[in-house]
Amino acid sequence: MKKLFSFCNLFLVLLFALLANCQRDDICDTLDVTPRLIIGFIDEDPNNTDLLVKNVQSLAVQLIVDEENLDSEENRFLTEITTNQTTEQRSAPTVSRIILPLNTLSDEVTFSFTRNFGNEDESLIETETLKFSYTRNENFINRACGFQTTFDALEIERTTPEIWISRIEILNTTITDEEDRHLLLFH
Amino acid sequence: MKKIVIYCCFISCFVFVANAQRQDTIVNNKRLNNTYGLRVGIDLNKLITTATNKNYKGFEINGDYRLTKKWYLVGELGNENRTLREDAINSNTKGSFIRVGADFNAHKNLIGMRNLIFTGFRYGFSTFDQRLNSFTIIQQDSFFENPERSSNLATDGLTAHWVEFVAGVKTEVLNNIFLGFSVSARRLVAEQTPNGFDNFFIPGFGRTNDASEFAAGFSYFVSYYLPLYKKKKRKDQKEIKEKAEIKS
Repeated sequence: MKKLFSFCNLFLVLLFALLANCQRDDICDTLDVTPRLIIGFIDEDPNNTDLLVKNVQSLAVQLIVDEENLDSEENRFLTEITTNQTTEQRSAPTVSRIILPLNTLSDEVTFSFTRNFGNEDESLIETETLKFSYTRNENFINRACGFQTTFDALEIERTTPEIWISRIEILNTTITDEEDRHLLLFH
Repeated sequence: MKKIVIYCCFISCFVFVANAQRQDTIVNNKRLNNTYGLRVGIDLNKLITTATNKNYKGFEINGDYRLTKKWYLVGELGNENRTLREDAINSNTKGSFIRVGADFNAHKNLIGMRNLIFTGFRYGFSTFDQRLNSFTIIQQDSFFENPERSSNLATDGLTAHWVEFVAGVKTEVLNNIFLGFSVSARRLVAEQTPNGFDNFFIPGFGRTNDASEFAAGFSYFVSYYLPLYKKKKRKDQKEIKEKAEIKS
């Protein structure tokens, strides 16, 4: 009886040690990630009362770090640039909506928007630069995920004169999710 | 965690050996298991972890006082300082804790032994400071650099309460020296959370969990028994003498 007791004791101890080893690893599976800025491109036609979207041809977006020289290597492309094998012509996607990540290390970020990028007729290639400024809030999610950043008080400044973007309309100055568009650019 | 398994085996071997050594029938007045006294011990796991793990500093002392033949009043208190370095969070907790409860000895000792196989419960309380050292931000794409961010978020003087169910063994290995091992299942009852983040560790309780309020704990310890008084001395002595005479 005593031996049985001791044996049970040993067994339970080892069993518990084994179970204690199998700690649930916290895995991050939250939907609350740092949101990105969602921009829609709208037709500036006065007849477009329903705010229908209008595609921008070959839209290239660049992060502007070097404002003096827009063609500098430091100004990385956000959009994917493809090169046609036969014509060796570069182009960017034609879209009516774009998603921009905002810089979580700074309170502002500058992007340039080029339409008709890589077009043979260089007079059609038009670039405008916009500076986005905002306040950042860091919110705790959980121990597995860490924190998310949300943005507030969004402001947009044109750093180039108006070229192809006729109007800027901010739908929401607070960016907390990616449900709806935050910004409309008319062209 | 590997060393925990090794220590478990070590303790259990002691149980085997200690039990085997007491097969003799020599009657010893001291070993009638009718002595009532105070046993004080120190948690070895915490001592060893403090020495081997640079992210941990802590100690725990326990004491139990025999109330009746089978029931013991138990108290444990200690201090823990733990730094947790996880994927997304680097935090530090330091504070003290106390646990009070009772143990029931389910083991029927043969003459000459004072071992315990016990189950019991505790009520635990801790007061602590929680500090967030650094964290990472979840970003969906890698367009921008996303380094770890340092933080100075901290809240001091937080408290937490919990209840636990305990089971374990205490074996007398040498004269008045016991070696013991226990496992416990804990459940948080109340918890104060820091401003801006959450508790990741509570001294005396263990790691907290987002999904549930439970935690498991275990400890192995060495304790020393200070006999204070005996109960029913003369009657037992006479009985034992008579039995010994009949046998021989």
